[in-house]
Amino acid sequence: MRTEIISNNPDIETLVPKTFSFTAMEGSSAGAVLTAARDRIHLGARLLAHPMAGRLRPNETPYMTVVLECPSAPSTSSGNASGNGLDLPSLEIIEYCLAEEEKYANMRKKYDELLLPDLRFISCELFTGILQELGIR
Amino acid sequence: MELELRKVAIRNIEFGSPARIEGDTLIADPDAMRELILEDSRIKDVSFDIALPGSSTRILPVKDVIEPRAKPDGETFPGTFYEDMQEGGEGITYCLEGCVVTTTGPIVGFQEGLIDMSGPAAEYNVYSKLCHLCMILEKQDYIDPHEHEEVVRLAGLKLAQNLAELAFEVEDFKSEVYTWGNIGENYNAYPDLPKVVYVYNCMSQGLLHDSYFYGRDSKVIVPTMLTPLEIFDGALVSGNCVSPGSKTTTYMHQNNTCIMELLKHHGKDFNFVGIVLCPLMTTLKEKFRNRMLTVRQVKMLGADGALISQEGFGNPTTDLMIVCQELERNGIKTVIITNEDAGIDGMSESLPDSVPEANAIVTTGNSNATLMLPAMDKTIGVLKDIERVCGGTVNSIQPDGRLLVEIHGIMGGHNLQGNTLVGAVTI
Repeated sequence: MRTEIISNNPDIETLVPKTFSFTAMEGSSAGAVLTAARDRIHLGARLLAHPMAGRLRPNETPYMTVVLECPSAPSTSSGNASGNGLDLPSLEIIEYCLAEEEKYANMRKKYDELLLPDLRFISCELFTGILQELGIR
Repeated sequence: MELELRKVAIRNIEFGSPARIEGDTLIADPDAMRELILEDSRIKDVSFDIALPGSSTRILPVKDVIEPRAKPDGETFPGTFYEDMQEGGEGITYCLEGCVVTTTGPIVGFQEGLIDMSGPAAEYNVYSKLCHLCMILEKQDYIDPHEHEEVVRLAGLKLAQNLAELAFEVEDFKSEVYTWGNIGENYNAYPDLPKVVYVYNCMSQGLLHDSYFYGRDSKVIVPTMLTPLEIFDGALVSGNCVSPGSKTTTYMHQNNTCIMELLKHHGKDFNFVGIVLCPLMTTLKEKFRNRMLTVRQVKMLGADGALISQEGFGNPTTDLMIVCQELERNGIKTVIITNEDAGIDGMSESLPDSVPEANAIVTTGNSNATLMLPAMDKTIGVLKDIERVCGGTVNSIQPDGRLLVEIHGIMGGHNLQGNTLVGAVTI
């Protein structure tokens, strides 16, 4: 098993422990990050943290970070990679999150340049909190 | 355990010297308050303002709202200022009822909300009916956001405690006496009535998303039993600015409406046997651990029914649902409180998580609904911050000065303990 972080916040990468893999999606929407995570869940990954943890509502921030535990050898057959079944609780949560993103699609905010560093900062802070909860200092 | 709340009614605040209470007016001394607050060298400057109910005043952005409370023989907000803390919930506590200390100013720039003292937004939250002593803090340049949050939180609590000490001289107060027994006494108190436990969720996720229990960050506690009396004494304080509409300020903790209502019906409709504080964490492992420990404690208290209040939305909704599910599976009938994010038109799926066992839900409203607020004569804080805070957008400020905001942006607009002015009433 390996832990994978997917994020569209460029500042997250420096916080990711060396033993984790990191998929940078800078410039992508939060929905695209969730979709990438959803695809991995179909290949046998499971969520380690709730993607909406500490996050503002979907239209309040463009940043999204997902923490997954992936089977070491992902397979293309749905839900059966390396003997790992589809993790239904993870799938349910990620589908809810995707539905939330879609709900807010027409209520987007314009993020001004002054606010984005703050939003990246708080996203990193909360990611650090997740690492601590996972026992990584 | 017995606690007497001595409530001194405050209906007006004025600046003057010396600080005192005259009738129902709190006279606050700006110089003395300034001296007190600047004891913390991390604060560069502080100023004060007053907002009274009915006035054309808007406070924005609001970090916390605190009811002044103090004990002649001890401390309120135990664990906050001294290592050698007292357990809350014993003795006498003076409260300045109708008056609050309100801390304002952006910290990391986006999560605080607004309070209007008149107009349509004032019909939503209880804060508009209170007299606000607003404190605007300027931190030293070297203070980082973590410490900034702490500085503002501590300054608010310190001022609230200091102001309430003025009530020690006042003889005209309303006395409310609350008693609380041990588990066995509570369990046996009303054998014919169903036993009810309150599951008290509190935000515990990280900077600006934390609560403090006896001064300790609630992220590093496991679910634990509480008494209602220690909550009245400020054992739990807010360190968060989570979405303002659903935010539990320190005032909401001190005046937790779930606890007040449970006490009101205690001994009549059911036997209120206990409270379990449940921190709302981020990883699924912590959620499942907290579910197990919370449900176990509710069962150990012998509950037939449970009430769960919520803080925040999204990630915490999962905690709310899995605890509810497990309680129901254990035969404990459970009612939950939550708001809804159902889109501006109210037509979208309103909850980000749900379980079939959550079959008794009290809603505090659709946070996405929008309100057009009139321009106010006076703004305490920075009006332009509405473009950044929750519930506002860059298009919030209208050319004529009005504001278009979601109910979500109004502090306590749909408080998840149900402490709002909006609700459905059976007639």
